[in-house]
Amino acid sequence: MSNNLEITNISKFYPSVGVHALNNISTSFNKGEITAIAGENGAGKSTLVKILFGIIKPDTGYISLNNKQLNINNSQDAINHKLGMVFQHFKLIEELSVAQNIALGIEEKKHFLFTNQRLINEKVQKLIDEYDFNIEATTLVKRLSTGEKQVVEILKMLYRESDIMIFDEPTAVLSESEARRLFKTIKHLKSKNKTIIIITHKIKEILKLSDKVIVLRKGLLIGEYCTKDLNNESLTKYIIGHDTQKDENFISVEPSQEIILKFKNIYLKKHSQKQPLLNNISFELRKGEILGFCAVSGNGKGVLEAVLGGMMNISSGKILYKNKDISNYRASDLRKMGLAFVPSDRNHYGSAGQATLSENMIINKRENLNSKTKITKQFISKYNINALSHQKMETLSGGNKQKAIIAREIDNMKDYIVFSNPTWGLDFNASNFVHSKILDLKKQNKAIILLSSDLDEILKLSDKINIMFEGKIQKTILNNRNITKKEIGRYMLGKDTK
Amino acid sequence: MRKLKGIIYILLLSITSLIIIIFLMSKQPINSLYQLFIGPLSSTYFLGNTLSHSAPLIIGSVGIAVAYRANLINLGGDGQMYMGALVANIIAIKFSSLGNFSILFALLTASLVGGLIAFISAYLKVKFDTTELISSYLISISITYLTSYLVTGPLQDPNSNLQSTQKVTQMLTKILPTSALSTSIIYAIAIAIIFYFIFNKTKFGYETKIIGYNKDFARYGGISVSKNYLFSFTLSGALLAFSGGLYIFSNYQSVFKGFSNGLGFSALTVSLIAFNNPLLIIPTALFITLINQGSIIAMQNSDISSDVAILFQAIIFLLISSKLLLGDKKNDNNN
Repeated sequence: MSNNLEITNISKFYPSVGVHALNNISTSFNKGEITAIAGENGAGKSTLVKILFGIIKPDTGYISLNNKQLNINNSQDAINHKLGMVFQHFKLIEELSVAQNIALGIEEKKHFLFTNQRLINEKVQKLIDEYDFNIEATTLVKRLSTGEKQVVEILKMLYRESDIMIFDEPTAVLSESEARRLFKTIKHLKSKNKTIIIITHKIKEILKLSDKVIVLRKGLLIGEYCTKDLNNESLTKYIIGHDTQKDENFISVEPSQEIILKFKNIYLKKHSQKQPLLNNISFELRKGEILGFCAVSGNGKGVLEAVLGGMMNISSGKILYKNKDISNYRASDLRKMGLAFVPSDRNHYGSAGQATLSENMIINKRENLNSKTKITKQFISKYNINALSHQKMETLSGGNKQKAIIAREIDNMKDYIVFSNPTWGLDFNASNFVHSKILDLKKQNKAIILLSSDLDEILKLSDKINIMFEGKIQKTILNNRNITKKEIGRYMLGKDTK
Repeated sequence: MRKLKGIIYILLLSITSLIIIIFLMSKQPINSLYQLFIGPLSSTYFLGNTLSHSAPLIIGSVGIAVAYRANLINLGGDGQMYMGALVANIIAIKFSSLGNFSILFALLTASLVGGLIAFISAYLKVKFDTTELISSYLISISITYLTSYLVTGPLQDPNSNLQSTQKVTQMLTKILPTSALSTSIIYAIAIAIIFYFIFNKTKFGYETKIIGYNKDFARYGGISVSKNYLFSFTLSGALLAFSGGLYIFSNYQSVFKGFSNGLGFSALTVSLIAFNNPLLIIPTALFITLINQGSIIAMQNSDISSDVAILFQAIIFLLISSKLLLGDKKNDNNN
């Protein structure tokens, strides 16, 4: 096997959020091999493939192909070097036929001017037959299923004679059987000596499909492994990381018995979907308690966040706030009630980038419009936010943005506060600041819900951990400081016993 | 700042293309240009008329801005204006015994009707997620045909040879004799200033602005986006209809077929250029009216068609919607 695609010392830093998305990564991808890039959310997987495909430019480092350095400035350059990519969200024109989509931009011409549609159709149909796909070149794309649309994306790469094919979370949108068919196709492509790169966080798929795994964690290359040397457990360990030192400074305040928030048999199901998004969720949140929730993405944690914020309505069950039924409260009702909520997406839900910092600070208390500068200045000095009150929110660094949001939300808090991925993308100091704030609130006998993908954070802060899997609470564990991430990881994958 | 620079480039580019077109089309381009740009300012008569015609455009543009700040596009301004004028006309005649109060009463009724028309689109958006841009436009077209039918049919003035309604008896006080200029311009400027304060100093103004920036953030923060959509869009329709009614009492006295004549679209151009800022809307509306009036004067006194005004607005509109010169680049640091 010859070394095919190689990357050397690739780094990417995002100053606006203060994050090293990739830190000096070097690795290689071989011909006729399937390489999986694995890692948690925010590990840098997407950034890496976006750099390969010319969508993002790295700060340092270079890409080389067969020992020749490439100059990739945009996707077109990447395509010219025989790279192809299937995005999670397909880039197809629904109203055009399969063949028209495939040949878009590189149509064969007739008399130098007119598109030779017949020739294109024939060429595409030949490709389809060669790979034994079950679609017609002349069908309109809007008539295709999701899996078939993905086939069109693959055909697009084949039509452009790509040698290196990148798949971004290819099974995220597919059903079980469609996924099986995709794996067959990918193996077929491998047998044709293509270089295949797959991003995924599904451990089963990695083990089943790939020849080699590259594990990233927080922008660092953790290691390259031969898939045949791995099993479920060892791979999970590499992806999640080793257990860190137990935090000595943890203040053990015993939660009181007073219940603030109670979820009783909550179901949430959309008409179009078979599986409920939330499946019989029940829990109680007490004063002085930090209740942690963790899950692999797509298992209901995000939906629970939306329900807590009043952005999604539950289908059945009851939500009680101090014995008052708030099941059907919308965001505006919850806010009036004194909800404090730090959302996971601080740029989209937590703030309006084009508005000024002070305009962002009064969203919960809009009657204070005309004293917004004064209020903002108080937040700035109390929370040490490095910004000016009339500065546009989008120009703040990630840490300062999060401090500002937390300041605003604590100000609106009555009895409980929800934090979702509160330190995502923050550097060490900002993360520590956020953690100390959360522990402060616990000391003040507030009730806290912590939703997080960061298991270290969950273990460090929470009194009780709810592990979600496929929309239900798979396991609730009291955090007695003896639990390991490995154990949690197993429950996150849906296993019941040790 | 970058946006303002972009707008200035767009205006310069549009004026340059207009000049080039006139040089290509006119046998006496210098005269045509003079008539077009200087004509409306050349005498108190023309100047007063230009100012008078700008008053409804200022109010209409403020109306468009009310909706546009919440990221809603009211494309039905033309129909709302037309119907507003007709309602004002009917009421003013019915209650002419009330003197000046008949004007106030007529304008309020017109606003109510215009608001109701716009409310339909907003309600459809909130309930069924229908695009307000399409629904307001379609409703406006039907309203336009309905109004035209009424104006040329059942409500046509039998004593007139024109296709127009009966004339109202009460008019606004003229303030620049020989020209049509009346107190309407004062009302228009006052309304623009009032809305400047509403936009910047009230809770409603703040909420609308945040919704326009990021409606998910607004919802998360507890703002009722649906209520705001209903209110802003209704207010928008009311202002458009008000401006149509005002046109009766300042200039026309009656409604004729094709009364609004694209003014709703001009209002859209104006508020686009003025970034929905009511204080910037005043000079922008004046400028657009100047070109509109100039094109009419130029048509009478030279060999170009008054369509150049439409052409001019079309060029501005294209350039603004292309966003090329506005530097409206999306940030790409969303990892």
